[in-house]
Amino acid sequence: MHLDDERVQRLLHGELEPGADRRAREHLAGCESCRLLMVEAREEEGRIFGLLGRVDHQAPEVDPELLISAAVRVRPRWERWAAGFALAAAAAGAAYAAPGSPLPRVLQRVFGFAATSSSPVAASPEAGEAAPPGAGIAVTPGDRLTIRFLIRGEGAVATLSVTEGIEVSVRAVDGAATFTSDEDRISVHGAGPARFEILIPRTAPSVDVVSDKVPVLRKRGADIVTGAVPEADGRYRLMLPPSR
Amino acid sequence: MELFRAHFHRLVRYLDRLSGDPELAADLAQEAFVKLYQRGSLPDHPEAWLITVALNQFRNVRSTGARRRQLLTAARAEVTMSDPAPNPSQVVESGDERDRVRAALDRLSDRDRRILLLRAEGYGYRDLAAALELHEASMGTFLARAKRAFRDAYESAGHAP
Repeated sequence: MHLDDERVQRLLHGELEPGADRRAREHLAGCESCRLLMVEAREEEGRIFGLLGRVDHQAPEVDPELLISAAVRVRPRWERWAAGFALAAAAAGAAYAAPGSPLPRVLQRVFGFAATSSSPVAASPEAGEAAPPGAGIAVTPGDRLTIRFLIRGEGAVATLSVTEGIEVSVRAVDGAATFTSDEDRISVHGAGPARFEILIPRTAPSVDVVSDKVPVLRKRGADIVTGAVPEADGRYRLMLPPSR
Repeated sequence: MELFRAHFHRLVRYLDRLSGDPELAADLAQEAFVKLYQRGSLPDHPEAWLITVALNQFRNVRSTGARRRQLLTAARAEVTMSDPAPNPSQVVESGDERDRVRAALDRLSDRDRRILLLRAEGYGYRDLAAALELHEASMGTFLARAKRAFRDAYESAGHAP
């Protein structure tokens, strides 16, 4: 029985079981038309695979250690996104800063947000260095969470949205800031007139936003208490008074 | 790390050929590896898992980013794989050939295109079957059909106005 497509391809790719492989080769030894078929199949594959190379582009240089460091520093609960990103970016160094480096874009897509600066972050925000605009922090809220802003100078504002997500996130949209967190608190150090974006899951049971010691917004279950009036899109625009 | 070194570039190349968008290909491959490391343990078939994750991401991007892809398609006339300093006629010839191959790939069904491109990267039948959710026992037949479809599409693209 002559070789069919399945066996020709499998023979070509070494995908036949040993017994079937032996039988196919025995058949080939005595069948000129199947030998010709095999030769044509091999030549055709070579031609096609060669043609496919015509559409290739230059592969990017990616250091696996940088990618792994970015991946392992960001974990699902009580993550220090900004710190993790900053450390990864600091480790990334030249790769992050290199024109066309895809690493920041990937971090942004995978981890939700990332620094938008084109310069690498020099050090972790926890070490006292400010993260660039776009950086932030995200945590999974427990029973209660306080977001505390410590702002130098006037004019800092935050827009707050209630989301269907599972994490509270705080991000510096405009202006540098430092983010730290512990079990039930996020601390944000910044300078006016910075702009922040706060996302709070609808399911978060208890979240307080304070600026220094001044209550700005309180969420208890579905109830939100704040002096700010929600805008047309449902977001709250919160003025953040400076620290004294 | 070994997995990365062994598979990253061929995954990028596969996605590049599939999408025609090298930046997107690099993003998708990196995302797949990041997800793999975040997963915390190796799946039974890591190569097939990476392909599946990358393809799912690609599907998402394609369904939401058709406009972006069109723009990128128009802009991908850059020569990036040519030998150094080709003469102008070589550039034209190379560009024509590339467009013809691209056109042929675009004419294939999703299944034929994916099978063909994955096999071109040397993925085994088991990985192909797992990644594309196809019957492994018929993979040779699928491949033969995909090659025929490509050959026909390529010849037809050569006659296109």
